[in-house]
Amino acid sequence: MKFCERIEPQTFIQADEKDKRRETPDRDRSANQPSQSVGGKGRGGASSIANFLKGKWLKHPLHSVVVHIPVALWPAALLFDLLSYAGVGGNAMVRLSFVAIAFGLAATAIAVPTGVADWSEIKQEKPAWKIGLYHMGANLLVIILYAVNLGLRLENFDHATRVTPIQLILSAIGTLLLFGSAWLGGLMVYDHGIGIARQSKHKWRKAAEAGNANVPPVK
Amino acid sequence: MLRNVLQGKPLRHPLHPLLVHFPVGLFVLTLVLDLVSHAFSGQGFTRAAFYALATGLVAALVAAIPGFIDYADIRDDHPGKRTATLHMVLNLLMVGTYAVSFGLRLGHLDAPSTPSLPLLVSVGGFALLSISGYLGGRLVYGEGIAVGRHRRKTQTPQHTIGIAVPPSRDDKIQFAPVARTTDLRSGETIRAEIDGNVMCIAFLEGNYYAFQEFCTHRFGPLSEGCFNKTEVECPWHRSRFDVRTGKVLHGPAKVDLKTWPVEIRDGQICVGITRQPKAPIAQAFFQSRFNERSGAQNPDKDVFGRQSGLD
Repeated sequence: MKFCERIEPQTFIQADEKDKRRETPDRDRSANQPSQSVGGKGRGGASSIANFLKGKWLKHPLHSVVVHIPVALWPAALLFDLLSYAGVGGNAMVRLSFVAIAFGLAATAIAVPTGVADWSEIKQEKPAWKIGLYHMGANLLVIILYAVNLGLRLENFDHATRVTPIQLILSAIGTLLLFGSAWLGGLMVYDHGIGIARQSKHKWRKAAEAGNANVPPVK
Repeated sequence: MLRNVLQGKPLRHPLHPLLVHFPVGLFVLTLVLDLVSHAFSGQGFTRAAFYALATGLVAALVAAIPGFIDYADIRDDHPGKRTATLHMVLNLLMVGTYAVSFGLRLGHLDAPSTPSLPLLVSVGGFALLSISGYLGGRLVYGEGIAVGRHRRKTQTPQHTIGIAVPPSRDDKIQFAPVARTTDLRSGETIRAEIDGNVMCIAFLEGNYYAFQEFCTHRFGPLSEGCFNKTEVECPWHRSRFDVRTGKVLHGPAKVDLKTWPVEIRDGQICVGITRQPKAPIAQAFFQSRFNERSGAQNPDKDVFGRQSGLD
């Protein structure tokens, strides 16, 4: 819209004004450039760590890669607990559950900072910001639950042939909460488009330009 | 109905990317346990790794079902279709590799640590998984596949209809037939490329509308968008436009859509194209404004020339 307004006062009639007009978008862009790149630097310069955490180097958000580990392993641990409770697998099943919870917790060491980095990019007035907040809060609770769960298992995982009821219940509560908060995370992506085309917008711009579409000015 | 469930529409989340967490996580866990079994041999981790692998295989087969449905749903000429094909083929190979590893482990569950042959096969499977998992993620984050799909009530277009308009006087508007009126039910869309203009043609509230396919925010596919009366909502970031005028109704998009007139002639949906030399978009954009404003229609007297500076 802004782009159009800028052009508004000009009339497109005289050929000798051609060059002047032609420069308009360029001039505007170069005028905008410094302020924008300062803003850009402010964010990017704050840390290349932030860019790493957002997965720019991978062209794929890092958070959604890493979360596969806890999202899969904690519910799987519940399954293994149930199996061990049913008397399947013996001590190997208890160990399996222990390692699944432990490795899931290890993965949160990356999942948390990457998630916070992604969330910090969402504008506060967007509905996804609030979803992100709930997602984060619920996940913190889940992490604490599984940390406690793991602590309780430390003394019996190497000899027990079935988990204790309290361990099983903690796994069940953790899994239910995790499903809820993981679903919120998925909602941010599939319903609100967070991270979608963030790293492929140049490609899509080219496709839109090739298709004679109206496109916004290049930032 | 079953199709909608397999696409995860009731959940507002596609089912395939949700289910794949399990095989991905469990196959990673298998590798971890294999390594642990070598670090702490004779403590039952070999068997634990086997259980993780077996669970992962079952989960992979379950996740594959909505995966096939999602694959079939991608438009034939979508730039992500080839990536999706590769993703599928690599995944089938990956599952096959893990199945081999599963078979090789069968007689050795009580070995102190995972034997090296099934471990090596597992590592091969893990390499395939890493590549195909990454490609799957790119399909979502790069190509926007299945994003916002649950809001769409009708089938999305399966291909793009390409139509060339025969050359004539540049300034004459020509109505090009695109499809029969019976081809479109209410709320359905056609994706068409007419003389280089990629557009979405929608049948809404008894009328046909043609507007540009690409959203003006991050260029999401409006032919896969959802409709409310004469509004289109981009599936990606929910920008909304009035399809009658192309005006932005709700951000994040800020620039209006291009629209084209549609007429029905002999039961055919015809889109009016004013033929212009193919040019960079900014030129086309300003050219159309120029034409509106001054009535001057000589494309050679265009303001910005071919080097619009935007590409």
